[in-house]
Amino acid sequence: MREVFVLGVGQSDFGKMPERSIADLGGQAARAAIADAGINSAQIQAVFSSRVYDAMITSQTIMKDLGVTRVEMVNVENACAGGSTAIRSLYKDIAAGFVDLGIAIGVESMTTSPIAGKLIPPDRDDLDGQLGLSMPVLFALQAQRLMETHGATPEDFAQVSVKAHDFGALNPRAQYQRRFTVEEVLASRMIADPITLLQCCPNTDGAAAVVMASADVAKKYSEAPVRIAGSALVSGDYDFRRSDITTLELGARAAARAYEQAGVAPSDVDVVELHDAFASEEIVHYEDLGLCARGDGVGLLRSGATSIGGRIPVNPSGGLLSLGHPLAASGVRVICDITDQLRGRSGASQVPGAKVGLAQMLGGVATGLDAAAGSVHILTV
Amino acid sequence: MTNPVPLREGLFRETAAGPTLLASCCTACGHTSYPPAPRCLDCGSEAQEPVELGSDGELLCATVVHMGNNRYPPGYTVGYVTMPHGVRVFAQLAISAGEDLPAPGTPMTLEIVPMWREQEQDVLAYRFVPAPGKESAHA
Repeated sequence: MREVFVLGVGQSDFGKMPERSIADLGGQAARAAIADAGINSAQIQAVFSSRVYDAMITSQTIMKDLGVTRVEMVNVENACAGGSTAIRSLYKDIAAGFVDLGIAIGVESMTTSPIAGKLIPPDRDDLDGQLGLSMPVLFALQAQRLMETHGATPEDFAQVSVKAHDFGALNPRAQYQRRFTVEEVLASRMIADPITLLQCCPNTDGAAAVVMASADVAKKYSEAPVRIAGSALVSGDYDFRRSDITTLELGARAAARAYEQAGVAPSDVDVVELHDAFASEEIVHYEDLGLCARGDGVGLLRSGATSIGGRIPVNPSGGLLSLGHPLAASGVRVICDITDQLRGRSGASQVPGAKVGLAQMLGGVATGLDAAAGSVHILTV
Repeated sequence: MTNPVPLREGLFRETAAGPTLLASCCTACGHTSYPPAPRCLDCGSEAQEPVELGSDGELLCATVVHMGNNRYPPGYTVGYVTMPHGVRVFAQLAISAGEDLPAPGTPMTLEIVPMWREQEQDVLAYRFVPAPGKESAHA
């Protein structure tokens, strides 16, 4: 298996932009990634794109405006982990030697999707969905359980959002570049007890893209390309196999695989980007990623280790909570942000001396499973 | 007036002893599946026999949802209820507006009610009602 490198990254504007097409958003991100890589778009040998809503031939729709035709193009869907799946798919093709250079894209137009302004539901025929389950409900029930088993408080959950917005205020690409207090987060409208509006990621349009290459190609274009040292994508397991709902077992399993492949331990990681669609889940991910011992997630948050200037900053981009969450784009966007961190290009959010970064994304729910798809990538310089 | 239809076949029924959820139990490994599975989800055996979970459970956790969702107006309550054989079931909870959320561990009892109307027919589904006086079946 060959080594795979990130050569360039790009992101579109993030926000509510119903007037902008998929080709426009995806094209902005792809052009930025191609320029960042320093390559010519005609060199691209493969394109993997992901989109959740109204998806059809996303790669071709974007790339035809960039002069890229005739090459293999694949379009994937894996709920919120779709972008990670595009990254993983291109990674495998380069590692296996099928192609030397390609681009992975995630794009979403939430404001023009059928679920614009609604709670994101499971599949139409899903039993729990028919009985009233939606994404915020799932995470609200988990948060209720965290209060019971972990001693978490509504203030802790609010603090995750405060932390995300402290970071987001430093990121010019964030949809919401403003800070909030714990009191303001708690006083915002209740969505599903204990989750308030400011603990939910906003509906967002946007795209992200990553140009990836084999070692031979990468060294021609960059003196210090970022290596994808670990790559994992797993599906969920039966809910009955987990003892409690305060873990998302697939996230822990994806992390274990990525750590093993990369040959790094959780304690080696300098910076993390993860799925914080709802503030409370971040505490669960701390434990599932091994950033702290099982049961210590609340303690890790309260210690400030994951905040600005902490030992292991989590979501220095501002996370989904302040950047926004264009579903399929987020799994690609976390790779972009970790790459920028490892290249020392993150400006005011830069984690000093970051050498090892972890990008995680989870997606989808279905009756009987803990979740649908979980992905972890470990990047190193 | 047409007869009400169940949300889907084979999930629940009324019995002389009250409503029950319908599950399957693996005669090879003993795992209980809800909804019932033709093949054991744990060990893969096809030796499955039907089993009734009854109507008694215990609340694991609950939340009030303040945004409307499809057929449910804002202010509805849902939760996970632990049933006999350790089966964790997601369901609506019958809690009146303004009433406190029941505490984890509260005994709950199943009821089968018309949940919504579709093509001029009532659709039957299950929900749980707090039954604080009742002994939990598996506690």
